[in-house]
Amino acid sequence: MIRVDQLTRHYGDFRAVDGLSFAVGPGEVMGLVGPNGAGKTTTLRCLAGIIAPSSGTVVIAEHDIQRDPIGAKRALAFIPDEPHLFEHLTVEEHLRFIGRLYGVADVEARIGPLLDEMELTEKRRVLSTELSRGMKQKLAIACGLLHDPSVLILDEPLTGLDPGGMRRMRATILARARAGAAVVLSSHLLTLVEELCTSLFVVRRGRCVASGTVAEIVASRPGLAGLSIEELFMALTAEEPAAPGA
Amino acid sequence: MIGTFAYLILASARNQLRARVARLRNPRYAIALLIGVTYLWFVYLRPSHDRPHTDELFGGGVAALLPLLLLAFVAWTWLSGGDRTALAFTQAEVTLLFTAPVSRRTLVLYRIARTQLKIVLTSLVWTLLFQPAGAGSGALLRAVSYWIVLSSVNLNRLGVALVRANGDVHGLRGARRNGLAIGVVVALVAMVAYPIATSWPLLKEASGPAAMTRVMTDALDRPPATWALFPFRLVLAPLSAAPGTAWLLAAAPALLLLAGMVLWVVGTDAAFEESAAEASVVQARRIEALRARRGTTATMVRNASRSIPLRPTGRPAVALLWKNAMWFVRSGTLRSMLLPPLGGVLSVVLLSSRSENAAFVVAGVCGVVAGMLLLVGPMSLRNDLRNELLHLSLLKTLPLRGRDVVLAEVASSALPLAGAQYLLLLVTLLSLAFTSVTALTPAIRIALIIGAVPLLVGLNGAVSMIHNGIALLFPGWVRLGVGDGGGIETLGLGMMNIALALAMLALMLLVPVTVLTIAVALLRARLAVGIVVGGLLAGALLITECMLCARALGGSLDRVEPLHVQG
Repeated sequence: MIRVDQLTRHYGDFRAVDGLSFAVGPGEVMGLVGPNGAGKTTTLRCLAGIIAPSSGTVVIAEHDIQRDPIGAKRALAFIPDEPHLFEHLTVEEHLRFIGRLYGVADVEARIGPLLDEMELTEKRRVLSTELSRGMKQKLAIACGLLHDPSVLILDEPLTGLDPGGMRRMRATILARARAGAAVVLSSHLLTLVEELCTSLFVVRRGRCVASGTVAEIVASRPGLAGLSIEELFMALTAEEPAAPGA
Repeated sequence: MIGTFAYLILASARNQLRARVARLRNPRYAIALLIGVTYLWFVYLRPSHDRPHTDELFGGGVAALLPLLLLAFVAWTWLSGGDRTALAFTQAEVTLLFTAPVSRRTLVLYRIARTQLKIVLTSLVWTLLFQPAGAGSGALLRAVSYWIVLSSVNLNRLGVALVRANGDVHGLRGARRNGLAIGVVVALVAMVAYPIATSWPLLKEASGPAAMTRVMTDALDRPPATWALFPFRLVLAPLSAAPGTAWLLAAAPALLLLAGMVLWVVGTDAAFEESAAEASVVQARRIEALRARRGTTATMVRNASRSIPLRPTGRPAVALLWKNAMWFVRSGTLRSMLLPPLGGVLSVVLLSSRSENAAFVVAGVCGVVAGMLLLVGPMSLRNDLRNELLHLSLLKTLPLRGRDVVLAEVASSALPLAGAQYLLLLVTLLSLAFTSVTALTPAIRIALIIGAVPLLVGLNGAVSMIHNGIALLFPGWVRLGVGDGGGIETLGLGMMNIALALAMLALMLLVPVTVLTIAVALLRARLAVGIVVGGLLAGALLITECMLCARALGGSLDRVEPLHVQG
């Protein structure tokens, strides 16, 4: 579903992402974790087709995002941490808009259940500007899920959600994965990552420092055995001491 | 605490100034500043510039009318409810200052002080731009005089917002205070309106603005108008006072009045924080809307009652067109664009059928407005890619080709403009039917009605495409949102864009205009046919050019990244 090979991205002389390679299959949830400035958001934006890789390839549902961006984008949904909505459209109009963009013929039939799932039914005729931060995030999630994407790219999806919303969102992500979607989830909520993700991809300074299931990572580094997810993260992303004289 | 706030204000101003100076290292801002300064010099500041002074225009009575204008403005702010955002603080100020151990009085003082930089700058600009007849000295005193007027207006605005907020928070007691204030304002207006009303027959007979001003001046110099205008004359008195002792004698009571207004505003009650926080949220939303919609076209959309249906299937890019049309309908822009043609139709019905001169006037006005709309419309109606570029991250995730996005966005502003111009053209032709113009036979009128459709669509498409193209290819040259601020370099940037757009339009018009001219010349024996054929061909050529541009710009849109647009 998602195949990334030697993904590299420069900003001028700065190498934000440096030769990342990974694959996420149907039903898998990959946790993309790393400290601030590690290159997570740049990676996700490359996957979503917002920015182009400097080199390397990104294949989404058998479509190379560079060569066939439309095919790739039809298959994916990108849900950023900051919801981008249109101030002059209501909740249900956002979904109709997305429905037309993605050619969802039965959009009207899907709107009701989706709004129920996101607890937005009462707000369906309300302008997006009148929604709270959490509701805006729910609407952005609903827009992402409307066309039943086979690839989900989530950047801190729980930002702004209340505990109930977080619980439902966790269930939604799992349900989509069980239905066959490939999911990439970036979050600093390590308990969420631990709960949902089938594998981890840990980055630091644009490079992969560990990948695989927690068991595989621990197996490759026996010193990490018995650590909590937080301790594991700290150990994997800790800066190496500077070499003497450096 | 005062020192802390002074530090905040001065450090912010210093950093803004530094940022503005630093960006002059970029050639585009340096060139733009040069163009802006040159423009201001030639238009306003050139010593030999022979522009009439305001006093010459109004027979020396303009100073006498200024208190009336000031009263009208103050009355309007009270009666219209004022602007709640006058109380607004930035979100950072609400978060950091409202929670800090700072008294309410200090906060209000800070709010007043924060606006002083803008007021001082505006006073200096006004001092340069508005020079009373014979004035050549005392620029500093004139600047202080303008500062007194502007500060008084600003304090009044703040006061209105506070009184209204009190009204909301304190129920009946607040409503009484609010009602009392409005009662005073109404009484002042009545005191001024009465002598003007009694002078109405003289005003009707007055010939020209100078005579009308004299009648008004006489009316306003009689009680009770002179009592009502007393505080306003007090505020304005330093402006017309001679430098020296006379100015000091005029400024002292004005400054005392200003101090009284400061005490009145500072003495507000506990409703302030709540109202200020609420106003800050409103302002933050406005800024968000401005950023989203990029400056001038920003409009707060408040209700979702009107809607346009959208079929779930079909060309996906139509969804963008629909989305932009929804803004067009809900922001009230559609209503304001339909007003001129509807006003024209009403004028035709009421006036044109009775008088040939009126018919000419209606035709002329509608024709000029249509022409202005063609040139200026695409600059002000930015319901297209220029709005969307700040949402580029979202736009890039949509499963659409760049050229489809460009076409849909350009059509979003070009089609409504073409529609409004077409309606104005129809009104013009209708008005001319009531005149003795014989050149426009019914056949030619019908030809114009048919030929104008593709021509106007093509023309507006071309103009909008150019402006969108400039925004996409040179995003740094186009004013982005409100964050870019104003300044002389922004004025220069705007002028550069207009020059570039006109050059590009001339290039795009070259072939279509040649074809139109040839068609009309070849078919001059059957002019109506020539107009239709020429209009269709020229329109088709313009639309083809637009499609080719969309193809090229679409490639650029596919390649452009959010950082390039926002950086």
